[in-house]
Amino acid sequence: MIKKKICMLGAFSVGKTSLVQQFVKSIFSDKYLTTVGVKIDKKTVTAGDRDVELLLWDIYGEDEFQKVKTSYLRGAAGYFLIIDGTRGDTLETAFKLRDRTEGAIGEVPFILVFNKADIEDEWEIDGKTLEDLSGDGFTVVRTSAKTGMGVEEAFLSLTQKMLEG
Amino acid sequence: MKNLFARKSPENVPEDHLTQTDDSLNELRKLLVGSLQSQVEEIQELLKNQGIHPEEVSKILPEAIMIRSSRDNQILRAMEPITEEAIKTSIERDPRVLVDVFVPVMLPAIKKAITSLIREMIQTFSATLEHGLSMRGLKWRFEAFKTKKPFGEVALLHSLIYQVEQIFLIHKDSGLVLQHVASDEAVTQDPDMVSGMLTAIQDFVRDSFGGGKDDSLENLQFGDRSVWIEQTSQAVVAAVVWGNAPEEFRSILRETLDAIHFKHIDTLRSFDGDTAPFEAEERLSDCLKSQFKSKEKNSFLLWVLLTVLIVCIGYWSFFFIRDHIRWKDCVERLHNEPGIVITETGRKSGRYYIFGLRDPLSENPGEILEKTKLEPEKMRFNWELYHSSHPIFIIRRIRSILRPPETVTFELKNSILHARGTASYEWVVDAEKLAETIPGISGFRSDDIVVIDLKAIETSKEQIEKTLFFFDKVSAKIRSGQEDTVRELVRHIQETDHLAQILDKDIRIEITGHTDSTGSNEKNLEISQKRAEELFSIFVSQGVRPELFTVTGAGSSALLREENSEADREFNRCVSFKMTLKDKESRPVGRPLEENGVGDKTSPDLPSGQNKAGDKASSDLPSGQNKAGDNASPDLPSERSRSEGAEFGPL
Repeated sequence: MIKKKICMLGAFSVGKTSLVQQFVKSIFSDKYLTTVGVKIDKKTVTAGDRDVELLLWDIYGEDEFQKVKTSYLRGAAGYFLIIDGTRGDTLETAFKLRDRTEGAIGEVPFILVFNKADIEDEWEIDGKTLEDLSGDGFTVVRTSAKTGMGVEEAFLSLTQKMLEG
Repeated sequence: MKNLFARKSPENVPEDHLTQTDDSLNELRKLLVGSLQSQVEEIQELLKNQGIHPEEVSKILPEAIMIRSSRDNQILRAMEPITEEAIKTSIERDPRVLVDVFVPVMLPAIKKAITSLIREMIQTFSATLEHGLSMRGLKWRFEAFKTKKPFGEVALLHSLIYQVEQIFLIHKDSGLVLQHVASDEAVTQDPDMVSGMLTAIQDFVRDSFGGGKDDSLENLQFGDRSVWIEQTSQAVVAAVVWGNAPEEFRSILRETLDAIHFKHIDTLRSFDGDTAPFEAEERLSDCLKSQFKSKEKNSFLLWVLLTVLIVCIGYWSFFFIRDHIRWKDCVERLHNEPGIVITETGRKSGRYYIFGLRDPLSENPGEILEKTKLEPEKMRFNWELYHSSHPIFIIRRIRSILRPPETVTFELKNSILHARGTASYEWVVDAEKLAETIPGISGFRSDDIVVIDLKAIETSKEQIEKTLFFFDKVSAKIRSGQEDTVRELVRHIQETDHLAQILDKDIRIEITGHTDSTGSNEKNLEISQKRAEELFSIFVSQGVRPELFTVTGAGSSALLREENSEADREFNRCVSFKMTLKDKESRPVGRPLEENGVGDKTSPDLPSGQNKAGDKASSDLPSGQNKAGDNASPDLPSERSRSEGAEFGPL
């Protein structure tokens, strides 16, 4: 059995925990619960002909007071950078986090996840930014933890990338 | 690469040839080789030095060593003696240099080893303290003595109850589970998530509280369970242990982890999530250990023993407390008893004892003991006899010495003993002599004593024996009109009895029934007996002591008058009385007449007809006073002794 550690990274309240909940348990709650420290979940996915056990490290959201400790990132085979489409600054945080992650554990596969796609009309980040990022070689996925849109694909996509190495 | 070895070069140019060149040739050479001149000079320089050039060697040496050591270990062998020698020389010259180098390496390791050792010692010490004095402890001590092991070790072996429930082998960086084993009884959660959290907690603790890279969480405790964590640079082993495992379990974990680490070092370094290589690892399962005490098995027996013990203690306590209360009561009673002085009390070898002083005339302590219900065998008395000066005891002592009749009372006034009441002259004389010898008595006054002598009894005796009661023919009821005589006689008898008591004598009155000579002897005996009994019951009903009397039916054998006329016969149908007086000592005490006296008629071995009223005589009364005139000899007549002596003794 192949096991992979995946970290959920992003600014606070972008929907990291909700994405994990949606992916693992197919549930969504409107109630906002801030994550303290780390919460770990597990889900087995099938990529190609292989079963892969994903250990999802849902790490507390980064904000100006609390920087994500890189010790939680050690050994991660891949990570998600979650961005809240309605808050432009979360993209900035995502890139800061990417730099720090690469500084700590080197280059590992990651995916930019633009969450809250169910309320895309309220987004601050426009479609062009997303296209530009895709053009720059980043893997960009639109998701909605609320509706479940794109969630499965995001995880499968990252799994695929990790297996390709 | 430049050729370092000049001799091996095929283009070896002789030196003398160069020195012989002329200027023109040099010029030509400059034109021909131009810019290569410096290189040529360099080559020339090299060619001049045919030995090894250190500068050049230093450039290639590391590379050369690496190449060679990858092929074989010749370099290691070559280096070994030199290195050893170098270290030795260095230490000989100045050991501090090497010490400074090794301290950072050795110190943490030494610190860790000592900490672990101290922890183990404390655990051993606690176990020794805890079990050192118990029954179980003594058993273990014996075992330690037998096996020659330290006591602490034996105690630990027995007292630790633990079970290693789960063991996780975790990849250190990613926190992914490489292998997970659990005991059958253990309740397990998803091992991956548990291990992830464990890793996160490790990170969290390190981030939160600082500490070096090598510092790590070694133990987590929650209730009865603890998580024991050991780690190397690549792997972590975490054991969930229920109860108290011995400290040596950590060493086992450590050894297991080290073995796994070295076996899978490459796999661990390049771990990409594939746990397959670790799945066949069996070492972890060997760490699932447990030890239980066989306590549960014995608990029933233990409870039974405990109950029995409690019952025994309760039983013993009950009796002990009861006896103690009785003992206190006994001491209290003795303390309050006049004439008894307690000097010491206590308990020795299960028995109570009392030492003290006791007046011989005081209450018997044995009887007091009986009243308190304390078993006599649990008590030991030790009395010193003494004379109490308590007025009660002085009077008692006087009574025991003077032996006064009951009619006498005493009073002590200013050491003078005053006697009151009635007594015989002889007693008064004796008492006056004896009183002087009694301690605490300085005089005896008998002024208030009414002195009585035998004369008074003689008079009464005459009055009694003079009295006769008459009956109608065949009747056993006294003829009417004699009621006053009955009253008179009763009064006389009671007075005489009273006087006799004062004189320390006993009186005995024989009631004899008579008939006239007509009729058959049997009938006459029966009637006469009934007549005597009639009088006896009258006296008793009037309050006279029954033991004063003997009852005899004489029939017609002892006629009071010769029967010449009907008047004589009428006179003979009567009951007569005879009184005797004896010293008190001569009579057996306390034998009531009801049992024996009236029993004349029931006496199986004597025919009633042999009872003869006239036979009886008193040895101390003048014979002339025997009214019936049957002069019996002072020594007892054989007939009487046969009929009554068996019952009363000589009267």
